[in-house]
Amino acid sequence: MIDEKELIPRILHGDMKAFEVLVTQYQGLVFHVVNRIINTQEDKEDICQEVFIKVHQHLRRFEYKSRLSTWIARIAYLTAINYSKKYSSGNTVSHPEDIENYSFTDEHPGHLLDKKDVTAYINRLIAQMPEQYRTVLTLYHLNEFSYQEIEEITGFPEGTVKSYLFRGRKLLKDKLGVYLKNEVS
Amino acid sequence: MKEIDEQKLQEMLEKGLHLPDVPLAAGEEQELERYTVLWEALEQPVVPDLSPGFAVNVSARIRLEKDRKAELRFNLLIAAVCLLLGGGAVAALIFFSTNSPVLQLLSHYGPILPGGLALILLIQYLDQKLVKEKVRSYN
Repeated sequence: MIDEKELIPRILHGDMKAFEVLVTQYQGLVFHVVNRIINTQEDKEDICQEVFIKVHQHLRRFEYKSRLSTWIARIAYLTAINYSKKYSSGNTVSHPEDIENYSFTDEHPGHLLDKKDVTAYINRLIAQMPEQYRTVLTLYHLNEFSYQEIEEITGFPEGTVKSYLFRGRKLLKDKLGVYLKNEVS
Repeated sequence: MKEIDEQKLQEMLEKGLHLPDVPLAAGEEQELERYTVLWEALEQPVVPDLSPGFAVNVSARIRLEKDRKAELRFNLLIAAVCLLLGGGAVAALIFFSTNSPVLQLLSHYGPILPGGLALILLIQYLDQKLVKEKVRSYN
């Protein structure tokens, strides 16, 4: 784990090697956030680069009020969301109120059964979910952010974050039930 | 299954699965099992699909951008100095030498000179813009 308080002043003094250390440390986090919002493979790396360029430009504004990872995740989230809105070509799903009745295009997991890979199936389902569900599920489970941190990153109120998480997991669990049943039979 | 039970199961898993003192009903056990499988799948690390030299590429792009901005600043400074000197020279000619051949030339081809200067500045501007686009497309 890097010492942010030692690394940030070095970056602010123009040490690009120190910045590369920071990029290496947080590229996974940025990729996870971007990956869940942007569906086009070729754009992902470009957006990740944009995120780190913004981090470098605005690092002076980081006030140590939150963890650096939370601050970077917020930049990644906003960059990906803006990109998605700007170049949306139908790869983002709007905000359906009735998530319980959400229908996946990949409704039948039959063709995935041969892969015996629950994770791949879950990831495919998540990729089809509305953007806000994808984001909170990723931030909570993959990046281990707290509810408060997810609120800070996305701007969703804490209650909404909890609701998205609960409903998203429930939906996935129900689909997983069908998947597991098919696998047993 | 009631929604409150689902809530309870999710909270249990969030806290690291401490089974309740009261034994779970058969349906609840099945749900818990599904949630456990889901939790494991959600927490499976995803390997970032980024190029091996990602950090180096980012810092190279930042350096390139810095150089481009510095060059643009320098070009603008040169243009400002040229404008200042040119303007000063023209003003000096107008005020101090009414019959000079330079002034006669200026009055004859007057519009060409500022037009030419504007064209040079436009070329500079477009060049910078194209360089920026090119840098973006390379990255």
